[in-house]
Amino acid sequence: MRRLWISVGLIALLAVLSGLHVLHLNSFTQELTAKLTQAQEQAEQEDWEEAARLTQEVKDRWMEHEGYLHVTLHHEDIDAILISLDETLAFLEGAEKQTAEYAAANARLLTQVELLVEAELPSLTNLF
Amino acid sequence: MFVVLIRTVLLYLFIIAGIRLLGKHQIGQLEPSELVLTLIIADLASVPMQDNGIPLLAGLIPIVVLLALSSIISTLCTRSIKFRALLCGRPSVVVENGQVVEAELRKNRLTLDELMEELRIQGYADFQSIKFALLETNGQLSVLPYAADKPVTAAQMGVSSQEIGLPVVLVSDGRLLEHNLKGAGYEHNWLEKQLAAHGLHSPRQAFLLTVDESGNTCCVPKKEGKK
Repeated sequence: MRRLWISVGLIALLAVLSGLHVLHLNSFTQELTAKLTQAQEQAEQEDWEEAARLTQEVKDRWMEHEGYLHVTLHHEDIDAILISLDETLAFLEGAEKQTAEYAAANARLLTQVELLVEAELPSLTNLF
Repeated sequence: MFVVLIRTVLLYLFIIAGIRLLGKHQIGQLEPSELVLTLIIADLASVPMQDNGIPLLAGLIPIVVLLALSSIISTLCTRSIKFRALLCGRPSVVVENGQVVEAELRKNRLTLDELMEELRIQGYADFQSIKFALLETNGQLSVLPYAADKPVTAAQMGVSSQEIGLPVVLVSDGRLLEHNLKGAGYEHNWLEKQLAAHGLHSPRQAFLLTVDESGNTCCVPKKEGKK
């Protein structure tokens, strides 16, 4: 009987940890998307410096979590987001500001970050 | 490459530990749920082993979950006859009183050729001498012949036979197993005498030395030229 309870406990523990992971990832990505949206708004008002600062903040936060993200998520997705972050920053820090290109890159980055948490949610779409 | 090496070692150790925890039954006779588990685990482990892009946890978590589920199922199987019958099925009588039970053969998708083959493997050329043949839940065929066709035993013949008990290995490939020697209740002097009786001076010269409960030894010397 002890074996049974250990097995049930193990599965329950994994379920709780997976749930905590999804919650953490959700709050983390929400924080990133909020900042990226803010950066987009600043860029629309041609405050390129503030937009670049906010995007750099997002990159720093991303790098802080990289170890955790590599352990829990597919490496391809993580690398793709890092590449998009660098691309978006390059548009913001370039001498000639390209609003359309920046908007496209930022939109792609936002979608990639949103998809990251969406893929981890135990939704019907993901299950089947 | 170093990453692949470490991941391979980790997953390999993890599976060995898991299979070991399930016990010998898992390795010997597989029930349907156990066979599935074995097949899935092997596949699950190989994917993150080869692909660096997949996190190790993606391989480890399903394996832990599968092992835990298997443990739950095996506990429930031992506690509930109904659950066991549901999950593993019941043995099917495929031959009864020397006659093939066609319905059971069809139900188990066993062809007549396969049945004949299994019977021949077990030393039965036809159905006439078989009282019952059962297809067990693990896929093995058990054959029970008519009483008249069973081999005669020593007890039936009224012959007394000596119990030799379990032979204990004392020397294996030139290595003396001290624990077994003491467990069998013998000393080094006795061992030296046994070796000398077979023309050997040291345990290193013996490939195998066993002793049974009656004190009978069986010695296989190492072949010359081999170290």
